[in-house]
Amino acid sequence: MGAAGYIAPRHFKAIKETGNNLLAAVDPFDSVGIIDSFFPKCSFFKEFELFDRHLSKAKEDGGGVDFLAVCSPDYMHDAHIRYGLKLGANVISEKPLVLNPWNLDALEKAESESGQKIFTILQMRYHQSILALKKRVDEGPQDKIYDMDLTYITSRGNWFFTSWKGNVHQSGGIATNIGIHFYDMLYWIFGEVKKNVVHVKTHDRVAGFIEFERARVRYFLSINDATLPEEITAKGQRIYRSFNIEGEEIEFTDGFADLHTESYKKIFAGEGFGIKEARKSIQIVYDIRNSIPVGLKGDYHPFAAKPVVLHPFGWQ
Amino acid sequence: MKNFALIGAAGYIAPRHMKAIKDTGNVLCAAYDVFDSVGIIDSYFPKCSFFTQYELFERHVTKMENKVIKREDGRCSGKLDYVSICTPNYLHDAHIRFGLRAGADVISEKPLVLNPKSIDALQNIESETGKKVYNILQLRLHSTIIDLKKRIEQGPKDKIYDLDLTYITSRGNWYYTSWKGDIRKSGGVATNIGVHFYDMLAWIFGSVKQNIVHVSSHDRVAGYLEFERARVRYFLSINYDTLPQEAKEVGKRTFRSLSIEGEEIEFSDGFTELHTDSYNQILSGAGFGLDQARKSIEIVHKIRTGVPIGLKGDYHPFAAKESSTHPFGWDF
Repeated sequence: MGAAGYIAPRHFKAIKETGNNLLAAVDPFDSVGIIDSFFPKCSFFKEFELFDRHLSKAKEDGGGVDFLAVCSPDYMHDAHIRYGLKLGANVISEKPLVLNPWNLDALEKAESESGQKIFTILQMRYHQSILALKKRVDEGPQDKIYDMDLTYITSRGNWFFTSWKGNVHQSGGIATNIGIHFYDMLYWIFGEVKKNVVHVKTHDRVAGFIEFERARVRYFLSINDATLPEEITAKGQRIYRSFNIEGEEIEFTDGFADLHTESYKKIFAGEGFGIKEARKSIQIVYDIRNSIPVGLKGDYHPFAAKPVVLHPFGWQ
Repeated sequence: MKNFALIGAAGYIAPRHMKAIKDTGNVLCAAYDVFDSVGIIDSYFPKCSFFTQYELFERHVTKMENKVIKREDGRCSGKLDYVSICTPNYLHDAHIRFGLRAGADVISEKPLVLNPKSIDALQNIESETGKKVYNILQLRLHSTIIDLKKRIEQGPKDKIYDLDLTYITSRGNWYYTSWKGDIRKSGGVATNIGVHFYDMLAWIFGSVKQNIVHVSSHDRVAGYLEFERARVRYFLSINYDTLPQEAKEVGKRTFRSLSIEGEEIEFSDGFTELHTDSYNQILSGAGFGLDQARKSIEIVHKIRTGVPIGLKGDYHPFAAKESSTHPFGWDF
């Protein structure tokens, strides 16, 4: 579900590379010629009702689908996951699985009622640099608490605020939309959250401090190119990613291309990530979204002090 | 630096227009599409204003014209110079009219419109507004095609060439769910995947003397066109089953062949820069206007409305390939 979107081709590729077939796809928009590169025989629908009818008929005929892959806008994941379960399929959903922690409780119930499983894509957990880091921390002194700075700036133009991504009710805002996989990775490596403080939070950035069992993390996430470091802007680049642990830089700019396929492989091998694994990062971004920023107090990320700007459309 | 707007920003061909606008040193001020998966804009014009509602797009364009829009880089204040259009075919006419009435020149994807009479009406609006409509006819800028045209012009004037044109580009089932599979919206196979070939043929070989359709269905069209200087048998298809065996064997899903008197003209490559070339030409005042577009629109309209005569006379050998039923069981 969501075949015309930006991330859909990675799912097509993963389905194909794991030797499976895409039976049907749906999207309200019909610019989906990319399907031809993977599954030209796939049935494509613009209307949800017709998609549902097609899959119901396939089921009545003894066929049907084993898995439903969901890469629709964030706020629709919950509904589409439920649809998959009701259909009798396992579900593979893009992150964030849902926007609010209580949605997970309800999905757990739906999962056990249906006897089907929900999986999510947490591809950072398969990234070589991140795996190496986890190993290092696991094997290091157990009482050590690491000091870290996470900076991720991925510039987006004005279209962002016209699209569903710019609507906090639909995307969950910056922390959820561009940050959830980072929070998941941090929790996965450094353990439970002890403290979650937000310093600055606007339409285009979020800066805060999270204390995990084994790490103190100052983070800054932004989609505003005015927040890029000078040297990056000077090079004409629009993305800046820095993950700095005790002064040492962890490089993970590359190596993302095949992680969807890797995620699918693990799911089919019975090692996929489900609601349980997704819960912590959903809780973190929910808490960030619903907290009141404290301003520049305590231990904040240096970029948090960058001047804030008005919403390009003058919205609150 | 010229101010541009783009209609149809989320579609497949939109990035080529964004690239052409950027490569020619101009600025995309506003873009519109009903679908909002348009992150590609960031690669070209992150400051572009994007709309998913026509009314809001139109309002913005008006505000630009009234100099209400103030951008920190000082651009995009003042009226639009150009509106680029890459929407589904049946909407081109409406969007071209919008551009002209907004006081801009218009650059539209092919086919410019679906019916010849729409061109007459657009000509009236052109003279009313004093603005021009340009069409992307990129094959005319392809070096192989330019060479061919030169060769024909320099060859014996009374020679009439025999040509076979074969173009098969396999499309999956999604095609019939999308607007492309709806003949009222795309114009059918000849219009949707063939109009630039017919344009190229008319450009090189002159006026049409005869236009016969042998086979026409949801997934293919085969016919015969006699131009002043050429007799052309053509076969266009989106059905994988119609591919030659040797193409299938090497795993190909596309087959393109233009053979002149038994000699193959190779033009599979060299398409990447043609949108930018088209823009350069238009900006220098030498673009292809309504009159230039008319011939190919007439050809595809005649093909669309013609009754296929079946396998009679001089038909393309592939016309005899086994026909198939519509994947959804629909009538064509």
